[in-house]
Amino acid sequence: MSERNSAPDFLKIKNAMRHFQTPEGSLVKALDGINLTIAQSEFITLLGPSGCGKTTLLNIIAGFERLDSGKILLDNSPLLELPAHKRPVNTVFQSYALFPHLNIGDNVGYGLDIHGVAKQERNKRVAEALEMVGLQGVEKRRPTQLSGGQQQRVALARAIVNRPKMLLLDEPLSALDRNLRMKMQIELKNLQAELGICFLFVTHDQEEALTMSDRIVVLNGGKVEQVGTPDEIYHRPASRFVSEFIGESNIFSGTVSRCENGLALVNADGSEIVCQSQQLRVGQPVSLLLRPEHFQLVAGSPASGTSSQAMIQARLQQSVFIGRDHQLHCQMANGQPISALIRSAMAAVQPGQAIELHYDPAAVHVIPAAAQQSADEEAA
Amino acid sequence: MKSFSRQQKQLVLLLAPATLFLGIFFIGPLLIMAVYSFLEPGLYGGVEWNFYHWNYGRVLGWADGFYEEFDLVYLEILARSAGLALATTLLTLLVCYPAAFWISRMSTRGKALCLFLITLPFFSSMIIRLYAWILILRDSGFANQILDALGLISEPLGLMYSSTAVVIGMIYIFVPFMFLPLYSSVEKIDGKLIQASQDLGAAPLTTFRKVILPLTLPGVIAGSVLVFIPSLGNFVVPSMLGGAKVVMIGNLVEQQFLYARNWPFGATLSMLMIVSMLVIVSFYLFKVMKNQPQS
Ligand SMILES: Nc1ncnc2c1ncn2[C@@H]1O[C@H](COP(=O)(O)OP(=O)(O)OP(=O)(O)O)[C@@H](O)[C@H]1O
Ligand SMILES: [Mg+2]
Repeated sequence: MSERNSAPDFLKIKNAMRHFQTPEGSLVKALDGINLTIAQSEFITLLGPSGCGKTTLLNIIAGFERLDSGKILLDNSPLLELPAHKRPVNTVFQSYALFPHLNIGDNVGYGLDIHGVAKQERNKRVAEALEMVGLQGVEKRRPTQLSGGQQQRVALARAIVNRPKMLLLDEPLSALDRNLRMKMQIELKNLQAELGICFLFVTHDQEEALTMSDRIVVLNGGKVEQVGTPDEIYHRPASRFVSEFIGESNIFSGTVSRCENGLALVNADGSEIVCQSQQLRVGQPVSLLLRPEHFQLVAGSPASGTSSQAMIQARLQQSVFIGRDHQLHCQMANGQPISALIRSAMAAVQPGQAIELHYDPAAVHVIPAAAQQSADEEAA
Repeated sequence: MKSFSRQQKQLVLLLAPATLFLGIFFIGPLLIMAVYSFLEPGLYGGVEWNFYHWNYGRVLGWADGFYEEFDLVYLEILARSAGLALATTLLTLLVCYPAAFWISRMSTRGKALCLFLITLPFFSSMIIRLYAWILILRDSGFANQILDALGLISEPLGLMYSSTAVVIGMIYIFVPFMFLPLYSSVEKIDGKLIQASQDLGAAPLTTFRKVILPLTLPGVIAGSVLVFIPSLGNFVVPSMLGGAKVVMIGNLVEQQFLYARNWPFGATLSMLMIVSMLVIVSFYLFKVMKNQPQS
């Protein structure tokens, strides 16, 4: 985990629970025992499918929503006792929520005006904040006279101008087109580094999470599935859910049939997968993850000269050109589909052809069995 | 260019019926009244077609003291009417603002029910509803009975035939006119803006002043104008609940037309009422708009 030297437990969420009563009378567990620790200058992303509780958690930190039980400490002082307007955090709303009756300068200066910052200082800071987000000299304009991306920047400037201890961002980029979104991703990341404050960023776009975050918190059904760096989340997912939610994955479920020399042979419905692992025992049921980019293609069978068992025989069904690579959709003998990413230059195979997909046993990730996963492992 | 002029033609056609209607039934009578206010009253009702400015003199102070006498009481009544209308407007606003917020947070069904309840009084005659208020307000009425039973008063408050009764009655009558425009602008407020204001450090009252009020201002203005204008000219409520003690300008006009049969003077009073309304409303709009940066 990327530990920063400054205040590693800046925000502490302990066993946060929040249930909602639906009109139909059932109970929705929006937050189901969340434990989380965030460092002072971290870029943390909450990632998860729709309805997993991301907005609820953000609203609770901002003070728009209460907690049923649990504790939140910000900078070692309890946060939940404070009303929203006294909390040292600021929010960037998904819908921007710029005040339509104020011009841009007054929108950005809103927080400063409330806190009675002297006019000269206020104007200076407003101009600085707007400059930081790359929008100079628009103070006199109205929110409706700006484009979506510009409004987004104003919302950002309005939040950072108050120098909060923490910035909450609820899917701030989801309304932007792809190019602008990528540009803003980089800018946000730079801005966070420049300000050195904690960004708690919500998204359900896994690519966005992977590119921007110091650490990612994967939520599912109100529970923390995994907390880790993008690399950890991608290459060593802690659960089947995480591996399927992040990136494309091939998952093989089976039982360990043989163990030798630190290699384990797993029989997954008739086909054998080799993985490097010391912990596995014969007879143990496991799930294995292989990312599409971990495969190398060898056309025709049987391959000459390859002594390794680390390969999967499959039949190519479709080959799709996606730029630098070809994406191969194949099927194993037992019917399981496999997806592989192969350099275009190497992908001269025809649909219907039998192929061998080779991989490095070290690249195979053993997904820990369900239920043993718990949130407290992130404390380290 | 061609399509533009066609659009204009269509516009003219579309607006023609409304223009015609307003022209005949609104502007026409107004003009007649303006003309009558400068004519000499006939001896037995009706008018003599001579230019006659003493009608205005009677109210504003240049009467000849022979045929027509200047009396300050007319201006007093006009001022009192304006005062009562202002009080009515402010108090209805005070009643409606929280109600509009409360109802806008309800479920769809609750909203529909409340909106129906608010328009419900229109289903019965205003006269009957005002009689009900007499039953409530008179010395032996429900209000005094309840206060007496609670031990809060030892003798009746004497609510009937007072300005208080008139204002209560007018608030009651005009609440829907304030509520509906106010509600429509309150309901449009994006809850996220209120959250944003809180998030930026504004306490609830500050949020109200800096965000909610400016955003609901169109509703406040529309409601205030809709309540102020008819309550300034109202004569039913003061004549039923105010009796002879609380005479408003509307009663005065009514008396001149129906009992004194002095049509020119009634017309004069009406014209003065309209002018003061215009002055007050434009002053109000000007004040309000000045604080509101235009978009
Ligand atoms: N006010 C509420 N009343 C009832 N249920 C609610 C309320 N707010 C949220 N929920 C429920 O709580 C769960 C979590 O909602 P939340 O808005 O936090 O999801 P999310 O992760 O932000 O989803 P999305 O990615 O779609 O924004 C959902 O099942 C939602 O239906
Ligand atoms: Mg959400």
